[in-house]
Amino acid sequence: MSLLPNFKLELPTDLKEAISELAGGNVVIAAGATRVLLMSYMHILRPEVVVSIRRIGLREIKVSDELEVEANVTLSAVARNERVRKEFPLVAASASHVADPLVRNKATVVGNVVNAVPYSSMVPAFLLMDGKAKVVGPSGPREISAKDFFVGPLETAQRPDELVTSLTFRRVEGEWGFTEFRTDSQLPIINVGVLRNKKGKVRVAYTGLTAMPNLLDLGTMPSDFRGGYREVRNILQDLSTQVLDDLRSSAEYRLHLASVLTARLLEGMGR
Amino acid sequence: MTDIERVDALDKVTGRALYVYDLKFPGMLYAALVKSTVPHGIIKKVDPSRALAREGVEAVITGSQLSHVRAGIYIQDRTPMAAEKVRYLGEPVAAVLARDLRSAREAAEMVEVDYHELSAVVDPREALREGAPLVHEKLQEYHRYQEIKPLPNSNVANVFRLRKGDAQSILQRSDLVVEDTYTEAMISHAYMEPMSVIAWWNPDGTLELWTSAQSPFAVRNLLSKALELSESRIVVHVPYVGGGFGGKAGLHLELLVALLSKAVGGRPVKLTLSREDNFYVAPSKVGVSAEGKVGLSKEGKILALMVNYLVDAGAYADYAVNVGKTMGYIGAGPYDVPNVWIDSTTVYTNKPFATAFRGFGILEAHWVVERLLETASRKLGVDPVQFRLMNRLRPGSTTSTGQRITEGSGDLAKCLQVAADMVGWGSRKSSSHPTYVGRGVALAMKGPSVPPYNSAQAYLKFNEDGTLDVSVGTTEIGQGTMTSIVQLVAEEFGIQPNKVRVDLVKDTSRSAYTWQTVGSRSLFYDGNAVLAAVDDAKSQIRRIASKVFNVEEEEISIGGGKVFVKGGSRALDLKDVVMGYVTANGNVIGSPVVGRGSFVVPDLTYLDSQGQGNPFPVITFGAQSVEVEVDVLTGVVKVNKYVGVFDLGRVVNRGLAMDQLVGGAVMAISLALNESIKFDEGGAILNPNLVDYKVAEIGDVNDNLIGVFLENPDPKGPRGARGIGENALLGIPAAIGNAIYDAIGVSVRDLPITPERLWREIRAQRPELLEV
Repeated sequence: MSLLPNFKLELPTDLKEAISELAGGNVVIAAGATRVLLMSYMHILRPEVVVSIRRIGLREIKVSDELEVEANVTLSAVARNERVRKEFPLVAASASHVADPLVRNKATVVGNVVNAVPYSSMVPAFLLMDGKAKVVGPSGPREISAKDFFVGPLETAQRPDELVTSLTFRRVEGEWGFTEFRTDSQLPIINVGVLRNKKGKVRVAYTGLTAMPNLLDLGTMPSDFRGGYREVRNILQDLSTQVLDDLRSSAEYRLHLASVLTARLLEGMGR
Repeated sequence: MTDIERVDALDKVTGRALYVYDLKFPGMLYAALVKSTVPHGIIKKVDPSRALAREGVEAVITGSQLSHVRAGIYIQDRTPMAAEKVRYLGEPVAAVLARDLRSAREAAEMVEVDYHELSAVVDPREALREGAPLVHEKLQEYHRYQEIKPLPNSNVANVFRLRKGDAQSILQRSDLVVEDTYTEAMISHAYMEPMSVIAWWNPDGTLELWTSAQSPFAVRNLLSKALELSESRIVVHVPYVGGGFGGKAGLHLELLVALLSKAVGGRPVKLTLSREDNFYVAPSKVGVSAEGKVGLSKEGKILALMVNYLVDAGAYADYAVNVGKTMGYIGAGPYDVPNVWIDSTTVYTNKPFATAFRGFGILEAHWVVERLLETASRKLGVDPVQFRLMNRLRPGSTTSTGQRITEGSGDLAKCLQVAADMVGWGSRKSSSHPTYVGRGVALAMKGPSVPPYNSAQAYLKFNEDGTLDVSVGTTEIGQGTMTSIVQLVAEEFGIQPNKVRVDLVKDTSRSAYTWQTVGSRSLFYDGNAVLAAVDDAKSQIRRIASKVFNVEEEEISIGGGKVFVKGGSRALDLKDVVMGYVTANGNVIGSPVVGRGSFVVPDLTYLDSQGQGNPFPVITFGAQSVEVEVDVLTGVVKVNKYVGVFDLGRVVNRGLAMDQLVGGAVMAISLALNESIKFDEGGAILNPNLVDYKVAEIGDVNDNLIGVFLENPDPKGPRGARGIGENALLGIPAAIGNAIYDAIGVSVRDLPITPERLWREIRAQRPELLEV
């Protein structure tokens, strides 16, 4: 069997205490802890201190003009929440695609975004829906927009002494689509989210295509597969040198898939 | 027969089933392995000082301390750990023993090893090249089985040859010759329970072992040879085992752990592999590449077959040389081919080594033969089902080794007809770009790959209440044989199955012997042995009852838990007879009944220098068909429907047979579409985990998996039965490949058929399908 490395576990009971635990950095924040577990078992992560935020509340899903998902809300909770499914279907659909039911019962929406892994299923919705990360640090709260949140591969604008307490997703009118694609790995090689607003303008967001998430304004797009495929393929050519090439997929195949999957989503929305 | 529930079910669903990992003994030490960081290199220095200084550590044992002991089932090509040099990245070079697992694991990272790195050879084709780095420089000096013939100063562990007729010249005269090259990746057995062993030496010099092994008696036998210790001084316990699939056959970590225990004065030592270690240290399935060539008449008769297999064993030969041999001697498989030429060359490479895998080479050969013949039938324009019917083995014909097929071998033609009909062969397919539907069939044939002398014992003893305890040597590794054994015995005496207990947990000093739990042989061998034990017990019971009733023994019948005189009204409860019948005056007629039985097939032979002989004690025929759906734009293949038809002679427990069929189908679909151990150029495994080594999960395979069992009894089988365990996989990868061709006219030659790989094949062979 595998053993986790030794680490000190901190279990703060409120936000203030949690923030103070983060001071000094070099700690790993865990909510559902699924990434911490996976990365530790794979020897990629060797945390010295783990701060679990499970006891500090932050379990609410708030629906108003926007959707706010707090840090301890699981993917399952969002995926099966009736109001989210009805009013923010892209968020619900994205959450329902992550891993498998057992993982979704533990893993959180916020975690899936803030980990900034290239296989994140939630990040496309976060980008497409003008998301904001509400962050609390020693000097108080601040907000980071989704566009500014991802600053490098596996890197975000969240500072080591800050906690993301919730994410917001703006309500958008229009049509949406989401898909992920897995081959011979449990992790998706690409996630695609698409939104077409009432004026017919299309935005698409990817994770897994390049080392960082991509958000593209496509403008008006044809809704037939062939037209969509050709346009997307042309647009993505600009990214072709940055496309990930790894164990799970070659760059060439990823680029091809991105065009196929996007065109299929566009075609599906048109029906 | 009425199915009974699995006899191991309650223990497993309640969590009472104990596995080696659950066991703990007083004073037990935990072992952790120090693994090589280079694929090929001379070990210059092992420095354990930092590890030894760590709290909790009791000892560090290096490979060179144990290098006087050699192991290897066919070629003694390895020591318990690497001694002078390492031959693959991840090979154990030292073991840390500590009072707890964490200390052991952490200390293992503190052992410093210096290597003088050597050039490594990772690709088996490269390994054959003149001047390639030698994985074993002293290959010819190793002790080995006579039939295994390594080539000196090379990486060739063995070349198996089969020659039937004159394939080479017939190929030149054939109307049509089709040739192609096929490959199959090294894959993991991915059993749920990683390997775990505890060894403990008794003060009297007896070695006791607890191991997650398939074959306790083979562990004992091979340990006895390696340790030069007689079998009677070794006791192997096998509790519940979390799957084996061939990966836990033979001898693996037991030898190392026995020596580690010995090195610390006989204290119990436990070694449990993590999943990652299991990918490196426990053996996998061989990798294969094959060049096949088939010659046909214009009417569609197969005239000659030539296949040249190259089998990648990794750094040690283990079972791989025999897997390579079996791949060779299955030859043309279920086809009647008069001229067969096979070379099967097993080579060493600097990679983790390979062993047996469910199907034992015959699985691999089916991918080659069934794909090649499909291509040939398509080229000839002969319907693939008709082509197979025309060329199949039938009573009177001989296999590629010259073994004769009889009426009792089962109805292969019927298997194929049913499989084809049920998958909708010939009916309309609803394809619409970019999704194409195709159907494929393949025949399947396998018998146990066993040495002729392999055998089984069984015994049963009655208890005072008329219940009985049965012992056989087969382990319960999930396959369900124990349940079938109970069912056979209960039926024979006409008693409730809950009155028959079988030894689910094995102990070589108490359990009946069986050669190994492998090769789909268990019900055939152990079932026959147990029926012999039943007959023995029955004759004792009849002898007693005949005296009680004062009739001839032949007039006594046993059934329904009673012993009675045929045609009469006189009857006794079984319990009043089986411990000896006590008369009114206190005399005893007879004595407690112990049934003993054993089984061997006397007329099997070794193969001669031309690969000819009678290797199979029994053959199970089958046919497998699939319908697939191919998304040409992504390369994704979905198996919509699978039909497996096997002539099992007689089905003992239908539910369990169906479980084997379905489990085998899921495993075969998974390995055909997903599974490969991926290596980098330096021989490191890129996916030593179940995240990036994908095994099909419940959502990945639909439940449209259909089994049909024909029951043409085998005269040698227990009540006519034949095995199915491995057969359930055999033809499925090829049937999927054939169905892909049927769908889109693209020929796949390489396993696994991942979406990206198929997309590339489509682009190369039918680029027009990708035009958007």
